[in-house]
Amino acid sequence: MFDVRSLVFTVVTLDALVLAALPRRIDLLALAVLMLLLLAYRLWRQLLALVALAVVLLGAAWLLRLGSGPVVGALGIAVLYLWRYSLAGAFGWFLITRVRPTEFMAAMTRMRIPQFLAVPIAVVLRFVPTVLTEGRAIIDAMRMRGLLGGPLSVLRHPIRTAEYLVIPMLAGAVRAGDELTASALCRGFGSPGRRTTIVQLHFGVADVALMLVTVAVAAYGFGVGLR
Amino acid sequence: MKFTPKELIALGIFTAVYTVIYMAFNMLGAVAPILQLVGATLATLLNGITFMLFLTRVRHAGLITLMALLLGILVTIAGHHPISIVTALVAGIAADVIASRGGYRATVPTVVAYGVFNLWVAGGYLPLLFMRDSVLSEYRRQMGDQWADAFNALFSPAVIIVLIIGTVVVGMIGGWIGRRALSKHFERAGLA
Amino acid sequence: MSEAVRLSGVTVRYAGSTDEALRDIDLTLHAGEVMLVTGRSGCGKSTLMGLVNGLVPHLHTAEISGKVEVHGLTPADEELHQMGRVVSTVSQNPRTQFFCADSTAEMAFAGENAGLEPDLIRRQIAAVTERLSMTRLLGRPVAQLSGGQKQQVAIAAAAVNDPQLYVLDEPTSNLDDSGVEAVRRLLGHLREAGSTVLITEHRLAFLRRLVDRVVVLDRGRIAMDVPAAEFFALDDERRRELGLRRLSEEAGSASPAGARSTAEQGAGGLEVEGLSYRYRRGLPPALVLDRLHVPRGRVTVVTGPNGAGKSTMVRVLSGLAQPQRGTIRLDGKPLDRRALLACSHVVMQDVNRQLFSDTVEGELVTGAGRRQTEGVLEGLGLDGMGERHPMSLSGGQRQRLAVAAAVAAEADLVFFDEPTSGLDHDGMLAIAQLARRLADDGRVVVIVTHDQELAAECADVVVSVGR
Repeated sequence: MFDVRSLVFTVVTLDALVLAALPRRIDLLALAVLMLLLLAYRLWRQLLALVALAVVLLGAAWLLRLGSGPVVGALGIAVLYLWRYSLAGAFGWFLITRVRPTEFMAAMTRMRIPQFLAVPIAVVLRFVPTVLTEGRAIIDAMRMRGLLGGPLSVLRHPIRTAEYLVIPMLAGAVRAGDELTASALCRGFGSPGRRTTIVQLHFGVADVALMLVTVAVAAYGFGVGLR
Repeated sequence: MKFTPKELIALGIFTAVYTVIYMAFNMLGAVAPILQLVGATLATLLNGITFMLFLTRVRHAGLITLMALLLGILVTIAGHHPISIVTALVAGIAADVIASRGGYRATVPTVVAYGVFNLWVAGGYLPLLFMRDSVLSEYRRQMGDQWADAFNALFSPAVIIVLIIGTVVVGMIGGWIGRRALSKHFERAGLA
Repeated sequence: MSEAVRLSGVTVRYAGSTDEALRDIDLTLHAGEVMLVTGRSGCGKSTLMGLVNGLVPHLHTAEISGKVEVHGLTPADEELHQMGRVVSTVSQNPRTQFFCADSTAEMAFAGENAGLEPDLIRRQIAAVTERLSMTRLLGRPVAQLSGGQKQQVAIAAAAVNDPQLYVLDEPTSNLDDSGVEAVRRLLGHLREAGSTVLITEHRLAFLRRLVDRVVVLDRGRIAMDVPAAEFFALDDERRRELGLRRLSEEAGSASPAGARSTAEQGAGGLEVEGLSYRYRRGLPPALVLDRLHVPRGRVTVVTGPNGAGKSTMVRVLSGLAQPQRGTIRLDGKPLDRRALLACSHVVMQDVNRQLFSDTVEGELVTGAGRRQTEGVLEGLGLDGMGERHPMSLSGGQRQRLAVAAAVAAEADLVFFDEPTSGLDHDGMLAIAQLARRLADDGRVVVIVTHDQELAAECADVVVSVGR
């Protein structure tokens, strides 16, 4: 529906606006944009979670506003911070779950992003699911050996328990990484010269519209701030 | 700066592990907000192992900087302020320089380097130190004096500086944990 | 006939190793030939492949003496990506060699990296998938493909590259029967097209009519270099001497070995009734077991195609997963998940995921529960290695260490998940003996495998799980 590039532009720009100390209405505008995007992609669960999040946190902030005193004030700040970061995180979550690694790689190739960035980013996108799978398998093995004997024992030795997970995970990552490296290098990944892609990205009217909306929101945010 | 494809792929692999550990432990905070600090601390400590193992594959300048930059970019896409990219770059360069003093191998420089490296996340609160007045006046305007004063008290420059020092110190402990993991496990396994 | 590959007096020694991986190798592969290279584990097969595609020395530092020529090029002197235009490599692990999340993208990967015109790449993909009768596998998310399908995509990707030479490094290692069949079919296509192929394998029977020549390596030297017909006519004794798996497919599936009959009941063991397990609400059950009896003191082999639920069965029976319905009893006593977990031990397909200590001895005492470490290491051929780091052990030793941990924990239920993937004949026999010993100790032993030779060696009971 939307091209990767316009989505990334929108998300990064709106995130920056939301997290900066700009008038509150910006985050409501950003919220609206995200809700529209989720609607467009029919991501009902995410939409529902987002609405719930907004109601809870904004509601709490509004309630706290009615009170007085430094404690209330501090809580109010905390809630607002949480809200802002959660909203930004919601944008990020949308992007991560919606954009496919293949599209992202194609976008990077099209935008001629230099190798020293494009190669590691592509590898990260490819490898994170592998790491997660390893992690889950190791946690299974830990449960089997009784190394995850309930929250109490974990809390007593958090670092040791975490090491039981992280060290085999790193060892597994290195091994899998070596195989991936061989396979990728033999097929010319990262070699000098321009890369092409068979993925067809369509940057269309919808994308222009989305970017215009984002720019408008940004302009509004700065415009109001300067008054 | 010349990086071979092999180095860039290795960078991607270690950054992937770093990211997973970072996200997984920081999300403990989503369970109960009070665990947020615990989660962040654990993430920092354990990624010391990731960092140290990565360093065994680093032979020249630039890779640590690049890792920090990548983390800054990834985290921005996931929902942090884009200024994280700048702070990450600065932290990365600093860590790179410090580590290079020991040839990327010596204990003390690499441990200190990791401590400094962890400032890549400081994008969230560094502005509070350097752009304090504009942030404060904006809050005063939006929320009223009460909230702004509370904010001032809560995030006083002293607090921010403590946070920064704390990040570096916890980082150095993590670096030490990483070195220990290297000698206890990875070197003896032939993976370092 | 022109020469595709020529090795003259080649000796290879890896950095940091005192032994030579290959000694004095003289080998010629002609264009259009299909050559099988086989031998025991550690004989140097993979090193030979690495010499041809350049991974040795570019990724695996090594000293090479002698001359290596691949289509007139010396791999050590060329960049890996340049060798990659001439040689296409397919390796044994479908999961780790894939870069893309989509099958079509994977087939385009090499071409994209080389900067070829997108239209050209698309035409190549269409032509190759048509020729290999694989068009159904276009545009599929890799995560949804079976191991066999993934390897088909990998071979197609290799073909799209239009190489002078194919290097296939144990392509069927992790595959079940249908996967092996798919690879066999594709190999047949490649052969018909006159491609030059170098293939290493432990599983030999399926290659009977597909290869022209066979080279057997033994400790880095060439023990045999003969036409295929001669090799596949070797008698069983000679073949076992060479440490090789069987050379012909036996009719029918694995039949239980030995005099123990499956009808013997009342020997205690695991009783499963009315069990049903699904991954998430809304999905159909991944595993349904109305009645299952897994006896003590016997080796039970669970067979079935990949994806039919064998691994899920292991997870449920060992207490790693909670079934929605059903009871599981051990020696008549119903056990909940926690109790099952406490008395079970799974030897995973990738043993590295379950080694947690920094010493072999420490591995026996890591974790909760009872411990009986007396003589355990000795009994499994690991004596004298107590102080070593588990990850410094060989693959076979690590497997035995995982079993040692199970023995030390006095596990009543021991599960093996595909223990012989990529193992040679001796390795397979070792697993069979191990399983036998554990069963003789009175434990419940379950092996999930698609390795028919293993089942023939040690299975007392065979359970089939299928769609």
